[in-house]
Amino acid sequence: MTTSRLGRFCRDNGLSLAFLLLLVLALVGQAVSGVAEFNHQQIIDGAQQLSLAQYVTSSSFAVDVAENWQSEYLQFALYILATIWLVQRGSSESKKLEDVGTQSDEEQKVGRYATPSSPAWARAGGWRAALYGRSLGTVMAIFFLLSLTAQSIAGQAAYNVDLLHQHEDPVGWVGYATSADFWNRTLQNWQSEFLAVASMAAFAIYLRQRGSPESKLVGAPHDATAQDP
Amino acid sequence: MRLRSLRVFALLLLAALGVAACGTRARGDGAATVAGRFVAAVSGHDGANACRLLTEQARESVSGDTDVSCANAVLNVQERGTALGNVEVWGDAAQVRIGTDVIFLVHLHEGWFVSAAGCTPRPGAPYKCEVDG
Repeated sequence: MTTSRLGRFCRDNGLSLAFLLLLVLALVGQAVSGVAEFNHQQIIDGAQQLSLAQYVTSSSFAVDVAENWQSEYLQFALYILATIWLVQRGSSESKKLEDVGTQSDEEQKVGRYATPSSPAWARAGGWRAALYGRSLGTVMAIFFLLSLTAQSIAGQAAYNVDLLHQHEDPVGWVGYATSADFWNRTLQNWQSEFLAVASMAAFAIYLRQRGSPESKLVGAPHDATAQDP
Repeated sequence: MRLRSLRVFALLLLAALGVAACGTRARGDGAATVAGRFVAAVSGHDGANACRLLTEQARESVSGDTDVSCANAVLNVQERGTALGNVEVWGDAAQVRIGTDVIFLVHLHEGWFVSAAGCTPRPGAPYKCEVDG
């Protein structure tokens, strides 16, 4: 890839690339700070300390990562699905009030209403258009369920290590999935995601961010919902 | 993702699970062996050997505030049978049931060591153990 093509690729995909880079940096930071905290506790417990490589492959690191991932995918899955039916007057995060629901094929440019540049499965109509028309929410929901499952498995392992160190019986997967530890980890993440979504939906009515597609135009009236002219 | 990539991913996942399963079994065998040697040492009145299998904190707990050496104090741990029962290994910690006794172990650089033995269950609380480090 030449320099100019690389530069164009980076510009065209700046949003995804920037956040992937931030993800990597944050994971590195989490791993470095996490292993320090973990080893401090190991010293107190008289247990073996771990290297950074051992820590990032441990259940302790995995559960901390997975519990945050599942809540983020839940947030987006719920938001994608809830905004089909729920609107917020005046918010750039909402569609127009009269567009509630999944809308018609004509409005969604599906099947015979598709344009030549529409995705192949949208042009195809039938089950393929139906499936493709739900792919974003479905994939987010699947990623949420996979992350939640990973959290429960890694969490069970990490929890059982703690139980054995405290000279208590380990628990099975069902026991962990119904435990206070699992639901405390889960709900403390969920509440913050719900707060962020509610804040964004409401703040976007009255506040503006010039140049951001997440905001209405600076001069748009407060009662103008996202796609209103 | 192409089908070949998915197959490679599935094979890697199975290999990782296999290695993890073998690793856990090997660690379980190691923990059970050390727990069995501890029980054998106590029942054979070999206190010095039994103490060598304890963690540092467990060794200190055996003598408590008394002047009795670990090698003598550890022989007070009540024998509860020698039949190996269930073994649970999670990370660097293990629980081994021998007879009616429950023994807890931790894995340190040098291998498995007993952190608690002579344990009796208490509802909703950690085991009450004669050796408790």
